[in-house]
Formats: sequence, C-alpha cells, structure tokens
Amino acid sequence: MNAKLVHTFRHNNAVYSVAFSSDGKRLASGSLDKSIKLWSLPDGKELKRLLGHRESVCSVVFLPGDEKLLSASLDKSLRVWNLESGAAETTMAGHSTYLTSMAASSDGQYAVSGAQDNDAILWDVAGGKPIATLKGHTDFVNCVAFSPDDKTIASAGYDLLIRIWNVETKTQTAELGPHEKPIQSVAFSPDGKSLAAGDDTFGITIWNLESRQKVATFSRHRGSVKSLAFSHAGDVIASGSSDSSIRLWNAKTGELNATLTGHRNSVYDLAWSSDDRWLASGAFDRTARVWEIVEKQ
Amino acid sequence: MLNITGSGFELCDGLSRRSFLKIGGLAMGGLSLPQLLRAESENGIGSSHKSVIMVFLTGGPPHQDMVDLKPEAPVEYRGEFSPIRTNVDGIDFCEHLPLLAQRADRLAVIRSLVGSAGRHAAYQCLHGHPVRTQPPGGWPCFASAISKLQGPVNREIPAAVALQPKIGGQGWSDPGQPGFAGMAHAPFAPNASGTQDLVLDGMNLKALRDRRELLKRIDFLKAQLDTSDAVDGMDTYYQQAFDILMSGRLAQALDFEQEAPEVRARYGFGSTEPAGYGDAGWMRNEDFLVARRLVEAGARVVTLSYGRWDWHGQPHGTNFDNARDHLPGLDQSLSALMDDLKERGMEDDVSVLVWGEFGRTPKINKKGGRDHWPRVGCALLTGGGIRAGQVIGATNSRAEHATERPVHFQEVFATLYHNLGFNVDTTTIDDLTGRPQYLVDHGKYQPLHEII
Repeated sequence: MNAKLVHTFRHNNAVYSVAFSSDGKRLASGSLDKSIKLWSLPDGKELKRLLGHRESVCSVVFLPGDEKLLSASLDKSLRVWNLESGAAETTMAGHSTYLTSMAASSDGQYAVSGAQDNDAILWDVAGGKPIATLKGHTDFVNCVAFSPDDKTIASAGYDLLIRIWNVETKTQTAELGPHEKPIQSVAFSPDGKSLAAGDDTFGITIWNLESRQKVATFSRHRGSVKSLAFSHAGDVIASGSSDSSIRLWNAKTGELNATLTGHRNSVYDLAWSSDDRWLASGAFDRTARVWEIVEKQ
Repeated sequence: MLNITGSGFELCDGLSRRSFLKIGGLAMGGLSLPQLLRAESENGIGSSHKSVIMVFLTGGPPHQDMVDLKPEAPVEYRGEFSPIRTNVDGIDFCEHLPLLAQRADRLAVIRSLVGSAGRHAAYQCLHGHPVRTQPPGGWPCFASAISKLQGPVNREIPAAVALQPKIGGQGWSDPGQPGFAGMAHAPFAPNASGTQDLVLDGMNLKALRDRRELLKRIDFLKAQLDTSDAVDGMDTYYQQAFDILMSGRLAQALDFEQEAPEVRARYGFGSTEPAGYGDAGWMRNEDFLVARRLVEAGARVVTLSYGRWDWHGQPHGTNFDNARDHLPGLDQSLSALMDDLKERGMEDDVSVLVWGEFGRTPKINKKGGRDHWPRVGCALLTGGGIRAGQVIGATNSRAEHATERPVHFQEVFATLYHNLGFNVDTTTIDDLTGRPQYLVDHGKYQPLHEII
C-alpha cells in the first residue's frame, strides 16, 4: 500500500480537524486560526470560509446530505453551518472550559463532545440542545467517537481510561484500560466490534469490545498518537502522530503498510473519503493535506 | 503616518491644514512624528554608528528545548527533542536549530539568565530593570536611553525604532517607553498602528514602492502647497516629518519588498497573522530583514518581537508542537540576519540580542506544556565585536537553576551599552528630578567580561 500527496491546503495556524463530504467532492478543515475552510475536490480550490467561532476549531463533520456542517470549538460551542449561505444556524453551548473533541452520529441526530471539564456531553443536533452530560472521567477528555450503529459512544483522555456509553440510557456500560499514559485518540472499527486507541506511549491499542480485552498493540510511531481513522472497508487503520508521520496499518495483522511523510508537525486529525480512495490529514504545521491511496493490497 | 486626503483635495474650502495634511499618528509612546522631532530639537539632540537589534521572543522561550538540552534528564523533563552538535566543540543546540548550530562560533549563548521578575511582559527585556523600582519618570527603555545619549545618526531615520505589532496583550507589544529620557526619545513604532497608516493620498506602503507614481503625487501635492503658501505656515516639525517621509528613506527601509528576492528568501517568509492563540503577535521573518535595513539606514536600536512562546500545552498544542512551529522560523531568520550583517561588513558594528522574559518549567506539565519559570532562562548574543563561540553559565541536570555564572538581565544590557561605547560606571541620564541615574544598577552590574 502507498499513497501520494495530491493537495496541501493552508491555514494561518494549526489544523485540528478534517472531514470529507459524503460525495468526496469537498473537504472541510478546522483550525486554531478560528476558521473553517471548505475546499473543492479534486481541483483543490477554496470554496468558502466559515467565520464565527471565537477560538480554535477542533472538530468538523459534514451532516447527512452535505448541506450542513457541524463544528466544535475551544470556545465551548458547537455550531451548525448552512454551507450555502455560510451562516451559523445553530449555536450550542454547555461545557465549562475548553471543548477539545467532537463526533457526530452517522444519521446526524446526535453529537458528543469532550472537554477539559472532564465531561462528555451528548447533544441533540437538530434541537440545538444538550441531552445529557456523561460524567465519569476524572480528568480531561481528549477524544470521543460514535460507534457505526450510533448506539455507543467512546470517550477517553487523561484519566487513562476509555469509557463506553450507551446512547439510549446515557449511562456508562464499560471501562477499558487503564492505558499507561494519556489517551489522545479513539476510533471504532466499521463493524463496531473493536476500538483503536492511540496514546502518549506512542502506541495504538486494539480493544475487543465484546471481551473488553486488548487484542493487539501497534507501536512504530516515535511520538504520541494524536489521530486514528479506520478505512470504511475496515481493512486499514490510519494513525497520525506528533512524530509528524501518518502510518497505514493492516487492521487485521497489524503490519505497517506505509508511512506517509511530508507534514512538519503533529498530525491532529485524519479522515477517509467514503470510497477509501482519499485520506485527509490535518496538522500543526498549518496545513491540511489530501493523499491518494495509489496502491492497495 | 502621513495622511493626505484624496481626489477632493482642496486648500480653500475651509478645511484646516491638519485635515488635509496629517503627519503623525505612528505610535511613538504617544508622540506623532512631528511631535517627536520637536521634542528632539528642544532637547538639543543632533546627530558614529554602532547599533543594536533586540529580538523579543514573546511569552518566554523554553531554554531547555533550544540551547540547553538535557538528554540525560528523566523523560518528564528532557522533552521530545534531541541535541545536535554545533560547529563549536562541546556546544549542542536543539535539532530544530540546525542553521544556528552551524553559526555557533559567532554566537555567545547565555544559559544562566537570572533575575526575571516573572512578569509576563516585554518590560524587563527592554531595559533590564524590574517594574517595582522605578525612579521619577520611569526607566527609559534601552532604545530611548541610546536615543537620549546619542541622538539620531541622520535626520531621516529615528534613532530608536520598534517593530513590535500591536496585539491584545499590551505588555507584550510594548515598544519601549522613554521614561525619564523624555518623549522625544520614544521609539518610533511603525507597526503599532500598522504600516497601513503610512498613507499618501490613499497610497499604502506597497504603493510607495512605485516611485514614479509617488513622485507624481508628491509633485501634485507640492504644487498645491506652493500655490497656497500652506507650507510656510506649517509647523517646522511637521515639515521635518514631511521631509522624512518624503525622502523615502524611512519608507524604503521599512519596505522589505525592495530587497532582492534571493535575500528575502534567505530570511524566509513570515506572516502578519497571529502566531498562536489568544493575544499572539506575529511571526514575521521579514522583521529581521527590516531591522537590518533600518540599522543600515541609520537607526541605532531596533527592537522586534517574534511569535508567541507562551506554551502551556493542550488544547493549544503542546510545548513541542509550538516549538516545531516556531524554532525553524527563528533558526532561518536569525541565521540570515547574521550572514547578511557579516557579508555587508556590519557584523562587528551591530549587536544582536535574542531572548524572552523568562524560561519555562523544567518538568513538562500534563498537557504537554511548560509553564513560566523565572528562575532561569537563556539568551543569544551575536555581533557587536563580542568574543563569540562560547557558552556562558550552566544549569543543573534538569535545567532548573543556574549552577555556574548566573547572568542578570542588567549585565546583558551593560554589555550592549559597552558595545555602543558607553561606560556604565560613568554614564548617566538625569531623571525627572534632575538626579543622575546610571544605565544599570551602579556598582552591581558590569558588561559580561567573557565576551567583551
């Protein structure tokens, strides 16, 4: 497997988040410069700039239909943007300090955010309000994820534990860990049976969600694993690190298939296009990049 | 600022002179350029040319991740970076400073900077004194003291120029206050209100590069003024300010785009966008080039600030994310400045100082950041005829405190004064009560004997 760099998109500061539209024709990037930029693919033109957040934008997600974008910011708010007008239609606030991560359910009905107030909040996106505060973490929450069936949430951070939450009951159902060092990234496999977690030991741990056991550990990075993303086919795990590299792993065997170099700083987010042809990355080097998977075994 | 109204320019329509010709407004501690000139005249300042460029690393740079790495320290102290060898045996720098590492023989590295008041501001890096013990009128910043002592080299370039941008944190964007040296000696701060203020009939600095267009507009202006006798009645100092700006020398010195592309490329390309979160200033490599152009044109002291070095950690990036972001730019721009000064034969005449208000905590916090650490910091000195290629001072195994040769801020300033020809044991400036004040604490601080 290999990948070639096809686009480098620039922000005025670190890029914390990237997301593809479902048709793969647009990429959104959220930055520490407070802006969200929309880029046209494959030509790479900047389409629109969404301005309004008062602090760094840490997460962006296209909502189903690709007409709206959900964003989260260190300014403690989530916003729903109309991509035609470029206006924020809804602003939701609830955390008491820096909001650091956000994920949305696949149907766009829910979102979950994690913050340095040690909480995760479940949001009703259409209703523009919080549904529940998921309490349990004893330290900063760094990362959150929705399971593919939208029934489960994972959250993790500085207390070294991955907490699994039931969306319907809003209660914690499991606890994975502890990891040796703070957890920076989590991602569900597309079949929902396993969860990958990257941490400050520079390793990636694969957890079996049924047995709640570690089943594998990948450890070739030379820095914290800041970002993780399973391909939609589930055969590849992409990981981004503070060693500035992106690594592509065989999800079944743990074999390192490729190392993508080019970023000059920590890779804070990764996203696959729906056909797994493209991989996007956002990094502290002030760029978002699009890589084309050119050889897939 | 020179601001002349646009196409509706008329002299006999009831507008006051200052409504059509407004020179001033570039921040100089509150003085406009004409006011500054008047004040200079009133203080009998006329016009040798040694100079100083001071680079302020806003927010406190991490000494242990730059020039005092501790690879043998426990992991929670040593950080993510590896040391690399420099061209001086026994001196190592951070791996992200490879260009400076190849110029270490022209640098004096202070690893034991002490005496920080812990104040998150440029204040102490502008004159060395703490804020609490000020004489009547307040301490003049180094640039103002030099302006007071020496005056300008020529009438076209102010003696003291501060390139700091205006940002939210006023303590960080402080261009330096003139204190008891008097407002005539406040640094001329073109970026404090933006070089866009250097406007002639709607022309900005970029347009000023078009000399033909500029001359056309000046000719038009002069014709209007000549016919109206407006200039005759104009305040002499406004005329001088007008002359400074019209001579184009200051505008030219500020306009780095006039430099050859290969020279600009050596310095690298920065940005005027905030270099980090919150009240960050910019990280404009071009300011190093502008500083060289200004001292070449006659400025005695040029100060600039570079980036935002207050790296407490996530969610605004770890100390190391930010260091990977900032260090290469500093490495390139400072190296380019050193080479440029050397190639122009200015190296021994221009002292360059790089530092911040304090160092950073030896132990990495849980957010991947380092917090404020006034107990010890670092500084780099180059040029000015110093004996370079050496390290002054040392810290303990975790870079927590100075173990050898602690160097106070005022000793660094004493060295700069020495480089400009002043004896800190005898040179004084009267404060507002008429009492002579020494440039640094008398009898306590001397130039660094190791390098002078």
